[in-house]
Amino acid sequence: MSSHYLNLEGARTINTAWFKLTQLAIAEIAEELAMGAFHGDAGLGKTFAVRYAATALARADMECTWVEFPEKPTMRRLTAGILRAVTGVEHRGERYRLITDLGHVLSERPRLLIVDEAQRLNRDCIETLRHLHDDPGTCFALALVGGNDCWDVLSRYPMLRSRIFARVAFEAMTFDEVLQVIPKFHGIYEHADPKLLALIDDHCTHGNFRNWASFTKRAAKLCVTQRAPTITEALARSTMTLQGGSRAAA
Amino acid sequence: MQLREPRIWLVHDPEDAPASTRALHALADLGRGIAVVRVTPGPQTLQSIAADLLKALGKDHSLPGTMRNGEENWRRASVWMSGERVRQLIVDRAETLQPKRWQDFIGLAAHCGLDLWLVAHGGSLTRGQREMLDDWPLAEVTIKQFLAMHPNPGTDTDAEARVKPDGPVEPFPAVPRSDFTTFRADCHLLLEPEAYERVEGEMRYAADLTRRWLSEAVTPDSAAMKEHLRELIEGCRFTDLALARLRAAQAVCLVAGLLVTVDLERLAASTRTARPLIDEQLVRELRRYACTRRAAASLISCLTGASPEAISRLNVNDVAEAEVRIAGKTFGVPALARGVLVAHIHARLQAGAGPDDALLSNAHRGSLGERCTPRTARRSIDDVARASGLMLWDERSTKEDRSNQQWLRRRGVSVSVIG
Repeated sequence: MSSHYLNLEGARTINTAWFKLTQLAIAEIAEELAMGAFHGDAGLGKTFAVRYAATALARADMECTWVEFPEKPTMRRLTAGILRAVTGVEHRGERYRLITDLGHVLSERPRLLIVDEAQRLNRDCIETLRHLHDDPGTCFALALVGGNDCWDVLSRYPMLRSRIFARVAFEAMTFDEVLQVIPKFHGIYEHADPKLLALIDDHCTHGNFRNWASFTKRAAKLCVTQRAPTITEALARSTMTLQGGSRAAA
Repeated sequence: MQLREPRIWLVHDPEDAPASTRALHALADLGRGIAVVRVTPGPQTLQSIAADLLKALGKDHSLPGTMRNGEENWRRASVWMSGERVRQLIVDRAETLQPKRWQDFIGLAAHCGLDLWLVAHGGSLTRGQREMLDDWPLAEVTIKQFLAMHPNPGTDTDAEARVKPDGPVEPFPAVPRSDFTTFRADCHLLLEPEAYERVEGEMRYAADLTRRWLSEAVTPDSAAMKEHLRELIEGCRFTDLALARLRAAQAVCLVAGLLVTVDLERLAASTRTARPLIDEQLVRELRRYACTRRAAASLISCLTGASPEAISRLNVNDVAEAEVRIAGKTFGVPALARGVLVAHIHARLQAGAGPDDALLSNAHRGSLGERCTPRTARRSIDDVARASGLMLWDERSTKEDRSNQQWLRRRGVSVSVIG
């Protein structure tokens, strides 16, 4: 099962709207062997939600392959990287040969290929993925997961935009969602004052799951030190200071 | 040049919808003379588009005899197109090709006398592409019009077989040499589930046929049963396949009072030295070779049973589309295999070979070349045999008469009535 950001202890998986949509969309693209795009700002839980869905698929015997490229890859690096991720073996050779080999590998059995940080792909790489996906012989679903400008990059290319079967655009939680979701996220918020949660969100976490996880990691430690089962305003302000929140908050 | 107006079509697909692309790819059908080239993304060299073209013609570049030279591959693609009677060439993602590559395709279309469809997805063409097209007779259609002009023939079994020309021959699983009483159980115990499923499928097929034959036979005697058994195993390429079928038939026959015995050594030897049938499977295997020499030499070997020495002595005028003349005998070429021979004849004629020049040569890059040595001819045939798992030629090859009454006995199969 997917681990929470910073391996946060005591964190629970919350069925937010985006999380549920992602589970549905991943199941759908896997069934149709189609393409899907999952994008939004960093820290909104895209990767977590997609990993969670992929784990469920893996339990249903669908092979899932996760690839991520540290910087803007070339076509050759993209192809070699996917080949390595799928087969576990380093492949050498020229670009054309690698694309052909990857086509063969992706024809073997249905699988879900997840490309994280897809905004790093350039036109050539996107064209390569499209080429492989369009190949009548291959049978794989493609999930493109990306940060801020992922959709800008993907939608710039009609050959890819027209092929996106499912799209989930992650957004930060609204204030109301924070009040609904966060008390279920971790034990220290279960009985917390909603006004306190609003304060934390306003000054520090801004509806962003990664910020909440990072905040909670520190806050939970302080709660343990202070033997407080629920977060208090004093603890929250201390945590915010440690987090680098505004002076006003502290 | 025999290009007539309009033999080049520019197909516009501004929406670039996946359904259109799927429909376009589904048109690939070499049996109907339609090849669809999928342009691989990236820098377009003659080498890469020649490789794409060969792929569209069902060639497997991992097989022996595949070259990296773009011009040689382009030449091979053109002779295969003539041999396979490709009449329509569809180039998908033509908008990604440079005008120079369009020129190459147009030249090929003119040379082979075929209709060329350049399918451009998405936005507009580059100025270079536009300017280049001004020099040629051209008709422009939308993707909808194009698909309406090319109705998909459907997904009948024949069509499916035709559009999948690159499937290698899959060897039959090795089965245990157990007696028929324990054969199925031993297979179940020893084989992987997939292999067992395949063996059991063949056994069920043979058992059903034998049961049906027994129920229809007025008085099942040993002579009639021999005919049935022969039909059951005659087309088998692999000893293990023949054995699986015979084991099933043995079990069914015993219940009906007929004892069928099988001498495994003789069965193995006879299957190994029998000439393979020239069927769709063999031709499909030969068509995977970009190298026409390997494909043609292997076909002639299967067809005539002649040795590589004899085959290496053949001249161009010894071979025609429908027949091969060797050692004073004429062999008819089955219709389904003619494309293989025609492609090689085209290759030799293109290289400038005359009627009395060698059919098989060691020519490279379109040169006439020297006559193949028997050793090279043998290696060409062996390459195909090794890659396909088929026995194409053997020192002990027989040219036995198919009506020979001793056929079953040579294979170690005998039948006697026991009740």
